Amino acid sequence: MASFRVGIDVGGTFTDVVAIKEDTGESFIAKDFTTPEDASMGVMLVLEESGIPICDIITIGHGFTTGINAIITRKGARTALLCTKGHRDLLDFGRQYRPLGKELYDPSWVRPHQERPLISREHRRGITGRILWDGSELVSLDEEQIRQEVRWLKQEGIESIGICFINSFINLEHEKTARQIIREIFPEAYTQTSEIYPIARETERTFTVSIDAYIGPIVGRYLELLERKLSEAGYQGEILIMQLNGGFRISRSAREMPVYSVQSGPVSGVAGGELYSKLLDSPNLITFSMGGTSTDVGVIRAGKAIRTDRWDIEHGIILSMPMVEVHSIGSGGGSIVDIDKTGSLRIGPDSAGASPGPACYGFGGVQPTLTDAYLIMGILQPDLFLGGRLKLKKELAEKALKRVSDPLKMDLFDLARGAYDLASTQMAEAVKTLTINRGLDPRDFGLLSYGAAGPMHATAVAKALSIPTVFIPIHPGAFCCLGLAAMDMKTSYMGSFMKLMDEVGPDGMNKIFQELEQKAIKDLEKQGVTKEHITTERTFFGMYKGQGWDTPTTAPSLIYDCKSFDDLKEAFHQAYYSTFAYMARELPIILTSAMVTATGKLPGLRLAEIGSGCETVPRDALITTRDVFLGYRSKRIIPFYERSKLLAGNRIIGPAIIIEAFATTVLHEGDSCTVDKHGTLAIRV
Amino acid sequence: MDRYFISADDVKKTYDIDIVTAESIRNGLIQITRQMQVTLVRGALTPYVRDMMDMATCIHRLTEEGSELIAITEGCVQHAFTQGPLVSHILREWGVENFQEGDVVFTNDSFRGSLHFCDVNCVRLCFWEGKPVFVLSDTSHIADMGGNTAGGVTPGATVYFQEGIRVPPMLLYANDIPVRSTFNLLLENCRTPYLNLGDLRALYGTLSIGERLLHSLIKRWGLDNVLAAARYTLDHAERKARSALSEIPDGIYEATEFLDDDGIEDKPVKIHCAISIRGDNAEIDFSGSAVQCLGYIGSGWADAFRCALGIKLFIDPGTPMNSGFLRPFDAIVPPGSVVCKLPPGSIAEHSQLGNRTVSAAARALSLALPERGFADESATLTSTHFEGFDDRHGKGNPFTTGIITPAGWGATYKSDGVSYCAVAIANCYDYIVEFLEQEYPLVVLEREFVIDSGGPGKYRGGLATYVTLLALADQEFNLWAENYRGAALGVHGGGNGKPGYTTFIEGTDPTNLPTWEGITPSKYFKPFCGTFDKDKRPDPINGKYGLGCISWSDKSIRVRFPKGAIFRTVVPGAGGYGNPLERDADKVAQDVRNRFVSVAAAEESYGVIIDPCSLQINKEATASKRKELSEKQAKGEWQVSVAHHPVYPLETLDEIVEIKESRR
Repeated sequence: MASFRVGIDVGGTFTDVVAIKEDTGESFIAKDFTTPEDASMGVMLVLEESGIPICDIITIGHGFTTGINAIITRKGARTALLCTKGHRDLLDFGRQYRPLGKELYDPSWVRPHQERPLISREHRRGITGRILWDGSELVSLDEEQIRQEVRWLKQEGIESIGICFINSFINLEHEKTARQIIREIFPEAYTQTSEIYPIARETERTFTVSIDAYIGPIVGRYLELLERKLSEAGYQGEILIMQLNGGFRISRSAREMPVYSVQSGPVSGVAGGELYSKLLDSPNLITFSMGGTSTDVGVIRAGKAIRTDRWDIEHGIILSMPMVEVHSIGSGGGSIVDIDKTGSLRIGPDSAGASPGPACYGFGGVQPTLTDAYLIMGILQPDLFLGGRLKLKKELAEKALKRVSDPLKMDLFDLARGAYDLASTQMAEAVKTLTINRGLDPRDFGLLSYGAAGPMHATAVAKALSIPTVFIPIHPGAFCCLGLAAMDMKTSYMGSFMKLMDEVGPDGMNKIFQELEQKAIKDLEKQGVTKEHITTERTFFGMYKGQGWDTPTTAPSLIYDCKSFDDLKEAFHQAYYSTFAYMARELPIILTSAMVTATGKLPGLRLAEIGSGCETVPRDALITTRDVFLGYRSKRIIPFYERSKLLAGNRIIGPAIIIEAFATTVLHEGDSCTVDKHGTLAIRV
Repeated sequence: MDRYFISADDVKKTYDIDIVTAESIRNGLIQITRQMQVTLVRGALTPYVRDMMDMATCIHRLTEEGSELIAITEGCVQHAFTQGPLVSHILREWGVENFQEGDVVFTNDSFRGSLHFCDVNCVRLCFWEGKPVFVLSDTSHIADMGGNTAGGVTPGATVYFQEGIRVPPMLLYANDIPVRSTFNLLLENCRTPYLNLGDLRALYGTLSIGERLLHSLIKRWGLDNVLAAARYTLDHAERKARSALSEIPDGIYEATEFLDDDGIEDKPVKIHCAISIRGDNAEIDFSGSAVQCLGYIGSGWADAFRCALGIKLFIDPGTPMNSGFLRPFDAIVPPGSVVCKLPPGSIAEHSQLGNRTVSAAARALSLALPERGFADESATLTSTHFEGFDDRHGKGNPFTTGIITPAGWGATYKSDGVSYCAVAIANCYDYIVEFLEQEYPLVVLEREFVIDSGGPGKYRGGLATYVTLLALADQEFNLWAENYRGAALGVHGGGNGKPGYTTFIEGTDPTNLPTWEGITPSKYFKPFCGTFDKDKRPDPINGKYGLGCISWSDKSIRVRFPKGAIFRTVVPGAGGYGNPLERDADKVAQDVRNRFVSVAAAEESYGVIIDPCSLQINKEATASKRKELSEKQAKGEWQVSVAHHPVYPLETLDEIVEIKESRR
């Protein structure tokens, strides 16, 4: 009997499935529209379309957008928040700052949580009770008040309650008591406390707890439904849910902390990058994914995705937890090409989205988009798009682009090419944010590019940053699923300390890390991972006394003595120097928090090898030759190749275009592309 | 087509560069300053920078007259108006030819364009192939520069010698090596040398990183292209400004505002602003403003130019700031007036005045052009600056820190004002309560919005916030604030925002503060400053500024704050826009449910009758109340009053109707 590993990604528009046959490594791909009302319907449908018998599936890795969509559309659960009396406006304060950029000076700008709250102010209840800086109690908890509040909230139709009190990172007792009371008198409510991520910073922690409570019931219902449908269809394994930290948690456990898997698409892609980093033997990769409405960049360094602990979902709606860092900008193939009143040319930030879409789709869009520019340049061909399933309309693209080129008195083709270049520069800036701006040199990295539009810009972006090699993986249009079929289990535990490192000392550090490790290992064991497959990693966050932002430093897993403890401090100074170009050895270091990430290794994934050939491309791979404007005012006749017909060892010298069902790869003059044994395109630029 | 529009060909002809390259570099330059901003904020030690972002990072181009600011990331907006003139001044004075690679020049002089002595500035030239090609600068608010009290904003100062040490341009790093004499001078004349050292290094490190990024930009595009794109960037912003100015009808627009006092003399300080728009030029004239006052309120020649922000907010919030945007603007600031003080006067408190010049300029246009106008912001960051010795168990160190509480922005022609937002000239991260309580012997007992504080109107002004602090060790504080006597003004029928006040709270302990939505019965008050009635109730209508208060002024120095004492700051709310009787009744009801507006104020200010139990609108009663008020309004017998709580309790919170009657 054949057995398959399957990755399922539910995106905003499409649900993708990639199945890998366990013994041969062959891959199968299916794609259909997402069913937003009940995403599990779409999942079952696409699984059926893939033709893989469900009883033959051994594992399912799954990512979905149910959580993030509930937040963006404000269709989460009716949620309440119990907070410290006198502190119920933290969500509306949102750390106070205004966005940099054009909102900075706009008098009509309103902070998103003030305009469209997740939890309305009347359902944010201040509870009498106060813990001080050292964990001692200034005011005891008013349990009777909690009972009254909860009874009222129940009447109000509340389904979910978050609990977050000031200084609970150092003493959780009040929150635990409050949760216990809710469980007694309102057991059907979903509850969450700071335990989910007990670190100092009241606003960030309140948001994490609140967002979890807000999406908890919805994500829980979705996962329960999916578990049931898959099990009824004969699936016997666990559904592995992709979390923001780039690893899996089993579905049953993910339901208890849904905020960890609030969004998974971009993360799954970066996780797929970790897989390719091994496959390509290229430890440093920049992942560059460009779709219709957004572009996501991630960085893999020494085989591991870089992580962060902060994400502004909307301005001032802050999610704080260990997560794979993904830098997203709101431009993609659907971004609109526009000029302002003085003639300044720009791409986006407005987008034609899925509806009406680019003008050339013929669905009623009139504004010019990047996709229209691709068509005019000839990168996209009317008859070759989506395998010929959607015929693009060149005259509509022309008409749309003339809205910009006419006033600018610019040649239509030059405008198309200029828009392409400006977009490439924008993408390069996005890559810089995570590399040059962090002291990483892009020349030390390869660029792994996917998403429907990524491979069209990849070599231009690489050239702008002097990145030597671009890699285009198989199935770039559904690459996230590949990550979902291949990742490991992962859990992170964190504690906040706010103490001078010298006061903590080697023994204290040992105790802190050992306790966190025990928790993390226990968590994975509960999810069915056996001890020999578990590895752990230590990180501590420090800052100089007097500072307010901390910097992470990796710590070796050993029992610290005075010497190795001093090494930890030195490692902090060095990490600090590499980011800030100075260090302050004379200042004491404050240990803000410590984190342990435990990984539960799952069996490795094997990808199939494709047939091999020589440098010369097989005759049947060349589909056509067409006029393409890859330079200003100069068109050239260049070849178009069908990717599935290429063989390992083939070499293609640019300019050329390589097409497949859900993506197009552009090779510019001088680019040299070879095909490796797994079908990856490796392009020297 | 707009006459400020230029085509791709024009770009090529004028700058010898194609439009795509020009736009790429324009954005690249802004990106560099953004990255410098991140470096500075995360690397700095003082909370003013790390939390409050009182800083900016800039790239300038060299010109014959000095320099022009091309790109800036302004943590604090005001720097966008002062960094250009300041750096240009330094270059002229120092001489470009006297800069060598790796030199960093330092100054904090507010008479040379710095905002006040605690805002320190560093300048470095970016060299390329041995020649200076660009200028990098950064500025940040440092914890202390000596003077009478910590933090430099010294209430009661009358001459600048009391503010701290004035440092003319001096070499801080020579060839990337720290200059010992300068560091000694700076570190031995402040209370917080370890913080200052960290901040000076962060300022230096940020310029180094900026230079590295700028080098990589030049390498990518070539020097000539980057220089051409710099000109394009400046001209682009100028065209945007001129295009927006040309949409305002020619004429003279005027407004007057008052500051509460200067902390020395018990009288308001007048700001008068007349904006003449002629074609695509704007002249902002402050003639008629108060003569230079004795107290520390005021601005110097460079920071007076922040008033242009008032027009920027109005005409074109979107375009990134640089010197090009400011080319169409002229400001007339009479020397010896409060907007252009002369030495040895003190301009330590530059920000409250800066706020008012911005409000006055924006108000002048808003009054005349209602279809785009907006009401006054709260125009103050109420600041309390603490100093003392932390003797909590396990601690044992002297400390100094500031708590700044923001208020709201005025309502606009299309929206309610944002609440809890720094003033327009600034932009701040909030402090973190849990960090603050770790580091300093203070407990933030309460910090929420104040009910009935936003100016009523068709659109409501941003709300005030109250902060109640408990001292865990003996300490002192300085306080400076605005709109405790006056108020943020509403426009086009909108009411004024509620004035602020401060008070000690006595006769109750911190475990049992009787507070409801920022209201505590006045019997617990020991008013510190503000406008109160004889029963210590905050009362902007019948009360008197300073009545029964410990301090007559809202600018006070060295106030004792002993262990166990409780102190509350209530910041002012912002002004409302338009007739409150036209506000959607459902929105009023929503505000009542959220406790932004009380049942009593809904009736008094909006004519909306809401049942205190169910919090539902009584539609019939509302219709007749609104009709009655409209008729009175038409006859001039009714006008919405300043935001206030209509029945302020004396003894117990039960005096408030919705507490007594509501289900809760």
